[in-house]
Amino acid sequence: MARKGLDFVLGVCLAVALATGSASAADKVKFTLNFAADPGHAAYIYAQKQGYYRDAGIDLEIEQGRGSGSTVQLVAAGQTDVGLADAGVIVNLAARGAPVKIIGIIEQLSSWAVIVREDSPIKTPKDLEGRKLGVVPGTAQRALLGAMAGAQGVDVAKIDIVNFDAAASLSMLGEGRVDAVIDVPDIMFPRLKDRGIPVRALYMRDFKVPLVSMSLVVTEKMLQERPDVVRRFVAATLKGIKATMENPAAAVSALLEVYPDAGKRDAALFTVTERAKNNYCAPDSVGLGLPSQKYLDASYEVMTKFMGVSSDKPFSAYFDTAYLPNPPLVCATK
Amino acid sequence: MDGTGTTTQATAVAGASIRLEGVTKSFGENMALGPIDVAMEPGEFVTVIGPSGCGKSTTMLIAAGLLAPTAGVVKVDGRVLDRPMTDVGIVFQDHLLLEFRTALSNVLLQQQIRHLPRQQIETRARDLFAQLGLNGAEKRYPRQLSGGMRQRVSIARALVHNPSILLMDEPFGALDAITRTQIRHDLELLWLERRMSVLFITHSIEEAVGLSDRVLVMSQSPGRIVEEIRIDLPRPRPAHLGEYPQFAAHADRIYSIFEKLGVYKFK
Amino acid sequence: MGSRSASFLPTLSVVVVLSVWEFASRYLGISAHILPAPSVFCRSLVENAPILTRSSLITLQAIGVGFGVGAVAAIPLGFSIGLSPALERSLYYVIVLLNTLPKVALAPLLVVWFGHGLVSKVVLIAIGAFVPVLVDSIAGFKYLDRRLLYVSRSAGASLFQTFLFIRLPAALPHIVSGLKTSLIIAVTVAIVVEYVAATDGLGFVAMRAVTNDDLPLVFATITVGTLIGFGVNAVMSVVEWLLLPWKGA
Repeated sequence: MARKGLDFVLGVCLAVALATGSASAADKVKFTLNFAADPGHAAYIYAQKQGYYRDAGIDLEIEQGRGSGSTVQLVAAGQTDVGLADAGVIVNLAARGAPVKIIGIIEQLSSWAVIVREDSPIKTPKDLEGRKLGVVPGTAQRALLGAMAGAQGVDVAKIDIVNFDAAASLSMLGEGRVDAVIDVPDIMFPRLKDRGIPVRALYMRDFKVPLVSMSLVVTEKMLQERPDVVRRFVAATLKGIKATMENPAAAVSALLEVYPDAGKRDAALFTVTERAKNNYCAPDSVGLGLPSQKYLDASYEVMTKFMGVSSDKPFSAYFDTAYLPNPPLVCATK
Repeated sequence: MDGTGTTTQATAVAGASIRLEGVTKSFGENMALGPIDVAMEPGEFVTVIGPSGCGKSTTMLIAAGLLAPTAGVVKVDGRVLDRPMTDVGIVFQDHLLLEFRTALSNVLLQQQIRHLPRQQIETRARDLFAQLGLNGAEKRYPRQLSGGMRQRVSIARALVHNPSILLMDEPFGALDAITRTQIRHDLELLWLERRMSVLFITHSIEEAVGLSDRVLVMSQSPGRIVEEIRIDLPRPRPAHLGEYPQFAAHADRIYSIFEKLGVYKFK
Repeated sequence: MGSRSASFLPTLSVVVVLSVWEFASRYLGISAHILPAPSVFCRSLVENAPILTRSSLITLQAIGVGFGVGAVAAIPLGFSIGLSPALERSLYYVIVLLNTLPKVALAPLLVVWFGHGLVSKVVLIAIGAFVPVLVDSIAGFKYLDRRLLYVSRSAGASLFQTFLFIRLPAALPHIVSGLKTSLIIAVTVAIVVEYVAATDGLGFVAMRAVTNDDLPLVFATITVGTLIGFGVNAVMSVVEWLLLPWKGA
């Protein structure tokens, strides 16, 4: 009798120990976004809400960021485990010695475009010659313009380039002080619509400017010490991307639940839907997180030619594909 | 023994004797003072008078032990002074009250620093305020008081702990003539009652003759004592000294010494 | 009558400015995306009250801790430098350097060292608050009439008594004036650093509002920031009145 009671107590203890043991065994990971939470981040929040990280044994903390450069530095300094940052920025800093590596390219296509008013005579990049184009100095915009001009045979010298602050972009175009701006339509369109300015976009990706964008970045130390955690993190993240592509509205709800100030619902839904449709999978990509080698090479050429990235090493020196799911999570592109 | 013998109250104190023996002071190569010899009897009121810059203030600081002499010694009651004298009250030309303390609190600074019994010192302070015509000024800050009142508070601060020595460096120099005459009289009454030794620095002949037992006349750089005048006149002394021939005679003598020294150049 | 007009006139001028503003925004066709009417951003103020309150508390915490750390470090150092010309000579250029340092430009560096969050903000605010308190403390402790020390020495005061009864209260008006300058700097640095490098606080909300093209919220944030400025100034005035009763007497 007493023996049975003891067995029972031991059994309970064992069960409790196992339960708490497995809970505390979840690996803590801190993930820093490239910027303050915006609709472009819905997929990561959604993945967390859906429990993909928890299921992968990861106790995830998502932290907002203040620019890709800052996020990469936080990763390099060990202030955070994983960062989300622009590939060009990561490669630039890695080329200058930051001990970091890209482990997955989430946004295989950038959203950059030349935005013009609906009734503008500008129909092709060539039409920009002789027009006023607004550009924010110190951003990728100028480099993208160069890349696009090179690919399309446009003479940049003939474009009247106006420098202005990012916050002024909307009103510059709205008041007709410039004929075009370079910006991200999936964020800008709802705002321009809000102001009653009808616009359209000439996407860089349609003019042979392939450019990989938001990517996951970790330190080489993290890859050596916690390879398995990295692998599980990447898989859970890509699962979230896939889920977001399938259900953008649910992803937006998850985002706004955690960050109510991340944007207005309809605008956010527009952004998330656009990203899901256009950004996560480049043509011929191997799968989520991994574009084709040909596309990567073309993308790297844009970086080295127009974005000041050193071409001393091949892109593969900065991108370790070993942590992506195998077999790859194929894009569900139609 | 000291011959003053006018102790009438428990609060009264006998003064201490001060001796400056062969004291000199140089600042760098510049000999500013001396050598001088001063011998003050306990309870004696001694004035040092001289033109500006003759080293009067330096003499007082040396006597207080606040400035080390270049040569010579200071002795208080026969003992060599090798640190700042503490059985002392000092009054400067500017009142030097702490602007952040009320009048009474400025006086009670002595009690706080010296760890004296609060009750007793406060009673004494209030008595001094009454004697000095400071009734109602207790809770006022220095900037709310007139120049004369500030200087009276500063005298109260110098006396509240009943020191046996009072050092005064041109204490009435910044006051108007009417205030000066009154405050001189008030000081004399306080001294008569307490009989501390007073070393009084001034350039006013009227103050010197009106207050002192003995006047030491100093010459200019380096400052030396060139004359000693004993003022054997009854106390308390009157407001208007000019009416009394004895005072006039003493004053004349100081004037003539100053003329001889070249302080005055009258034709 | 004098005191009535003293409070009446400023109130009137504020009302006039707001009315003209409201009128201009409504009837002169000034877009809400350029200058939202007071009624519009007041509504935003009410609608966003929870986040504005939460963010203000975060900002106030950073201001409080940063200002406290800066001031607590500056006063004893100011005392040491004020009393030691040798120390002043050796640290002079360090102080000048600290003073001219573009503090906000340090923000990205601090973020790399300490991450986003309280520590980075506190370090930056503390540096900003440190210098004015230091400079004024040095002045306060340095320029003391030597003869006041004669008074304390001839009373047999110990070094500590001289500090407590003479040096500290004499330096206090300078220190308080340094504290007042610093506090304004602390508020500004806090909001600016949140705007450029943090992920929470009032400045961050303002940055979000700007990037989200939410001008009414931008103005609401500016209003709250101004109120914080007024608030901490008022607290400082009370502290000044308590510390320097003789100034107001």
